[in-house]
Amino acid sequence: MSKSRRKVDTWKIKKWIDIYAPENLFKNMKIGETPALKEEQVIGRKVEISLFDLTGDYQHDQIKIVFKVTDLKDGKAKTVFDREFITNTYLRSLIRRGTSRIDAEVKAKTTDNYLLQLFGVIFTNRKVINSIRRKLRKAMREELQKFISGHTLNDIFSQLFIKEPGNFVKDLISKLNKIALVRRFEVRKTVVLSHEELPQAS
Amino acid sequence: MRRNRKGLIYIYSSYNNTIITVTDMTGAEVVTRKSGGMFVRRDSEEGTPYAAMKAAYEAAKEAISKGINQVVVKIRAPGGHKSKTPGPGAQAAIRALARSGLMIEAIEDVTPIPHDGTRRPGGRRGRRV
Repeated sequence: MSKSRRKVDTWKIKKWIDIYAPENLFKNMKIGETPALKEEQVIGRKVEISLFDLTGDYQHDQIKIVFKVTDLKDGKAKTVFDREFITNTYLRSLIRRGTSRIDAEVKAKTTDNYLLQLFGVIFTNRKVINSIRRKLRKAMREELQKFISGHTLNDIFSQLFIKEPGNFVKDLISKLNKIALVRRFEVRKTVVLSHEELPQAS
Repeated sequence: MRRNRKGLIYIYSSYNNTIITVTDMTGAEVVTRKSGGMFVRRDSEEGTPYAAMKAAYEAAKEAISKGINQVVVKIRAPGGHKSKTPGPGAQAAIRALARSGLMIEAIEDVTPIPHDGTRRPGGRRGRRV
């Protein structure tokens, strides 16, 4: 009995700390709260939310974003982008009979020094033979590599995940269509491998 | 105004038991943990829908009293080389949570699916019953 009572007490002592989305991506939007006995405990925690919570667009429901708490200031937890992935159920819903699924993995550095590992998937209209699969994979990797190393993390967010109009995805698909008809492109997973802060010179 | 505090509910549902864990939105702090076995007498009843319903109801009650009112439900079966479909308690648990007054944002299946893992026990001819 005494044990359970002690448990309740520690819960009441715990302080709720607000968590904010990264400044460069979502302008310090509040994403939630987490309880902690000591404030330092919050650092290193990861929050997984769907992009829908941030943008309010139902199309983004299947995209999950993970933020990691790195800093604490006046009881506010600051986060950085950690990883992104699409839900398993959504990925499965895209797979169809008589078509091919082609995966590709890319490692590249953005202009603001995020080393990203990105997993792209494309789905073709018809089943394609292996030589064409290889060509598609190669073309996709090249395009992704070029895109990531020429843009900031923010651009990648808005074009690959949020999918704003006039985007990279459309270009990619039209380029790939010259090899074989491509039905769909998705970013299956993105991981931040490392991030170096740029010097404050500029 | 009431604050919207988000949480996660993990439902582990096997044929033998249902375990419900409520955490905060980072998953770092456990709010409450309840299992089917806490509400029935016989071991064989641990995995039943009734036990799961009871457990889910109690877990939801405690979560609400601790200030969580919006949840994402993550449901899983044993997975791996074991059963990949949730047990009999899963449905009942979700229904009980939905009726408890918690706002359910999403329900996800997070059963671990191997990309070719270890071999299933039982030998070549399978388990001879």
